[in-house]
Amino acid sequence: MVWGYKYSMSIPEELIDAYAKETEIAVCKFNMMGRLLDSNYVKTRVELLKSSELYIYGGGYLGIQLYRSINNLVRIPSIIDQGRKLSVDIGDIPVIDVPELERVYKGQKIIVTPIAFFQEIRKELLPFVAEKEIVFLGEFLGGFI
Amino acid sequence: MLYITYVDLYDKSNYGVSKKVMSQIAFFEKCFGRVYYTTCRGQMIYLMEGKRVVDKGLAITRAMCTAVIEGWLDKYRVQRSYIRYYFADKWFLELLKVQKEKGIQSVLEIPTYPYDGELAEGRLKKEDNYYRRQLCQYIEWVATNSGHASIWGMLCIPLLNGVDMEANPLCLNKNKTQKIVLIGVSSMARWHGYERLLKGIFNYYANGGERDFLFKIVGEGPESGKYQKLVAEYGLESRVEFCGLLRGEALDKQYEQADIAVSSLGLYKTGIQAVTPIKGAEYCARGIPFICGYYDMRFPEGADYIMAVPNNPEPINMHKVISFYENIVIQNGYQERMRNYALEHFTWEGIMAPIVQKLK
Repeated sequence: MVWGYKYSMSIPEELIDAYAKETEIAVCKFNMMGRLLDSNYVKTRVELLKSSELYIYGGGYLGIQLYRSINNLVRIPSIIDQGRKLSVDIGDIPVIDVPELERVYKGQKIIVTPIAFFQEIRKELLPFVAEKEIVFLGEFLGGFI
Repeated sequence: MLYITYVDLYDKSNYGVSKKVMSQIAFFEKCFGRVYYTTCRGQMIYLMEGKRVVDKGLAITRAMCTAVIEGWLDKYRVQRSYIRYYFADKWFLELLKVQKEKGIQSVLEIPTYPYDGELAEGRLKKEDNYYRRQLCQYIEWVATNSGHASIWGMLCIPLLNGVDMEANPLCLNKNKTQKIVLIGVSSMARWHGYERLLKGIFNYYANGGERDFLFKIVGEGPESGKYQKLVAEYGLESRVEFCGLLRGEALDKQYEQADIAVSSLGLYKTGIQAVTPIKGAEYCARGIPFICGYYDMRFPEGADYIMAVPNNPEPINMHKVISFYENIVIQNGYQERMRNYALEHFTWEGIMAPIVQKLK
């Protein structure tokens, strides 16, 4: 106990903030992954969206997992990813980047999965996507939609 | 005004909390006009007014959550706040500091104190324990039902749990049968301790008891499964009815059939002896005598409509329940007496008045 206290006194505040941020984001990702395993629950959330077609932003694990969870419930033309690639090499999921999205976009909802970069992605999309159509994954899974 | 909560007020497991918060907000609105409140849901924090979402922000991390609330203090020109305490951490302290710098009048409500017994050992407990001692630098007044004069260096305003009298109408018991109907309405947490009553009913019949009991369990929660298992194990299927989560008229109907209500019987598990749970006030408002396993400072000592049982794991003695029932039902007008007591002591107007004074 004593050593823990002593160390905490000498750790800079910024480092505590960084540890906390990383840990909380990891926990958040883990919880959302878990939520996506509940297919009945996910189905009720998709129904709440009242959309027949939507895009997923983010080709990371969460984006792919979301695609797998809702692909049979709603049409997903493609996943949007800056690098036009998925973190797991899966051939059957089409991937486009933001400039291409801008060319084909027709007012659909976009679920954003990269947790740490939501604000940046939101800014990137706002020039051609209405704010109400940009939905954070956590909001899709548990918020008011 | 801003009422800050860190729970999901729209989750059915928080129904009791939500009901209390909404009653307090309704009263604050009478005193201060527009009142916004926050609710957390799906890694988001929402700013609400009534049922309307006014604003929202990402609350993935505690730092983000705090930053969102701080932004709203300016954007919505908040002059006073009432905070339902969750846990202390460095970001919560930062929020309180910002409030103080902006000259925002604030009262912190600690819904349960002491609460260390409810927390598992771990990071959260250590973190809260460390940071809560610094709260007094930024907050002067704490509202609590604990009966303490001060907590962590902050002065306490006694906060009893009040009751919405309209939502809890008087039940003029229509049960004219010989059967004694007990009702327990709760979120089925471990401190509700209904296993004590189930074991008591089992013991009563195992020892030849002949009185007809029916225990109605209303609500859902973490202990529901345990209670269902015990009922099966004790063979009490015909004596215990699980009604699920009920509200409004459906709940009123169940209350109408009840002779005795059951308040928390398991607070010993959390190390708490004296509390003022909302349920006791609601039973009183409805005029239903009740059994409780804690000291409730809102009621006069020896009130004949309360059956006080020891705050321990012992099974409830059903012979004593029968005596309690028979003593109270022969009295005329006990229901009206309970109702009048609730009207005098448990309305939010009376309870919140000292808090409003501090926020002016």
